Amino acid sequence: MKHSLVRLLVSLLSTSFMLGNAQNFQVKTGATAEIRIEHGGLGTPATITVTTDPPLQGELTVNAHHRDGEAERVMIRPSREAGIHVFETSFDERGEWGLWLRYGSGIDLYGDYLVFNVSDRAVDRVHASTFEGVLAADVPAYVQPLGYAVFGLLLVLSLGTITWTLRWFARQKGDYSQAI
Amino acid sequence: MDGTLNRTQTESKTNKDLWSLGTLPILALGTFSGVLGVYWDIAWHTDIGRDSFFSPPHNFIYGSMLIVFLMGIYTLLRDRRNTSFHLQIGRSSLQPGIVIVALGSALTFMFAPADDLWHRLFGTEVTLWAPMHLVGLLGLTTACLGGLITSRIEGQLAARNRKRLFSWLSVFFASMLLAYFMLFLAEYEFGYPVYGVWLGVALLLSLPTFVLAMMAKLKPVPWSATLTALGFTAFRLLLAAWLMTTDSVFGWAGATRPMIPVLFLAGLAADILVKRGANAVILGSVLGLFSFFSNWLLLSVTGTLNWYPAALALGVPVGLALSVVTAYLGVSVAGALEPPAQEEQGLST
Repeated sequence: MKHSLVRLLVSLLSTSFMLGNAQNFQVKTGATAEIRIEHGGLGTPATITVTTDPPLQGELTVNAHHRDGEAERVMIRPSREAGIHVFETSFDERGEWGLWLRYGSGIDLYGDYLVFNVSDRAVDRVHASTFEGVLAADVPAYVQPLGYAVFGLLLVLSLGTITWTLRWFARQKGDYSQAI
Repeated sequence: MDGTLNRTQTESKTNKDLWSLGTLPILALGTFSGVLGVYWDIAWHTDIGRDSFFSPPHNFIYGSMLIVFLMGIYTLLRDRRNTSFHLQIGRSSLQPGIVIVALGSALTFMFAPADDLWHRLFGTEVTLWAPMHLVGLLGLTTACLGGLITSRIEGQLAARNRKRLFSWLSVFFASMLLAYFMLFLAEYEFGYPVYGVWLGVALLLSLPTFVLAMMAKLKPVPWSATLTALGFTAFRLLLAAWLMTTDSVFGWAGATRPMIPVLFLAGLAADILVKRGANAVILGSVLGLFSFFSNWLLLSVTGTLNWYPAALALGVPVGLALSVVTAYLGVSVAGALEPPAQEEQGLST
């Protein structure tokens, strides 16, 4: 009885948590981001500043990579102030680099891709591009939480089955020990 | 008394255990293929996209789980032994580990259409922690745990000269189970997590602890937790070789490869601490710290460290607390699975 109540409580809490996050899934979609890349040339300190509108709180992921080589920078930082994320890095390979952004759940990956060039001399010091997070904007808000609730239910059922089996096995083992 | 059940005690109607029946080799191959397929699938999504539901990694995962499921059903029908460790349901006598395997594998491939629906709704870039992915991972992990439970039960039913085989099988399934647990961190390993850094840190500290504490306590062979961690590392190196091959030879993704977590030191610490009678609080705390520092060193050396102070301030204490909980759970599960003769020498929780 006590265990059943605990399982029920866990299930309800997890479902509530997911339902509580339903709004976040929608707020993130549709946000735009402006990216400014300031660098002094090859191997010198560079700053990538991302400004989102409406302001996104929390962590933003920037992936900057050389389009022909092996060099890659994956950076994750929270916003310093509302909607402004600053990443310190450097670019140590000549040529064309690509950059993409990611925020929040996978449905909010920014769809566009920014290409910029790094040369020995600081020719292009500032790059700017606007990204649109438009994925899954037409899916009703309740779909994701509903999916998580299904997972929560299956998790509780699976853990319950495993726990029951282990306890049954331990009990059988005890009976066997007494028998011998 | 070594906990062995002889033929008379078990009232066996057949001499075949589940290794001889072919079940455990298939389960071992299936659990190996399942986790390899998921990592390959993530690399495929990154390098190629989601071109079709019937992509090679998907076929690999769902094909292996279908075979595991069919083998589970075949075993439940074919295994006619009637021991005190078999569930009696009506006229059927079911090996409980196989029941869990069948449930887990069924869960994985029955939810494949739901996964496809999710991708149609939310596009290619659905997170690994999307609900239907989590259902699939739950099924795979459950099936693998079922394999471990099956090995333990078969080990107790086996004659003395067969026990060693099932002990090593337990280590294999534990290594795979560790791989499945770490799979939940795959987005962090690939370098594009969609949830907070603090959560990745907390899970890195706590997820390995369950399996390592369980194996250190269960001790099917000497230094079991260390060997489990080494088995995990060997698997991940094989996975890296697979991805390099599929990328360079077939052009089937694999250019994007995950970081391999360092868990060897935590495994070694688990064996030593359990041998010295440490309780779950000490065990969980120390294993969590070993997982943290060894991987911090790895990420620092490779220049891929993204842990910032605010994330650590939340992730480390939460991870240590969770690690104590998972250590307690691991030791408790080991208590249920260890042979009767060892039970009284158990670790206090």
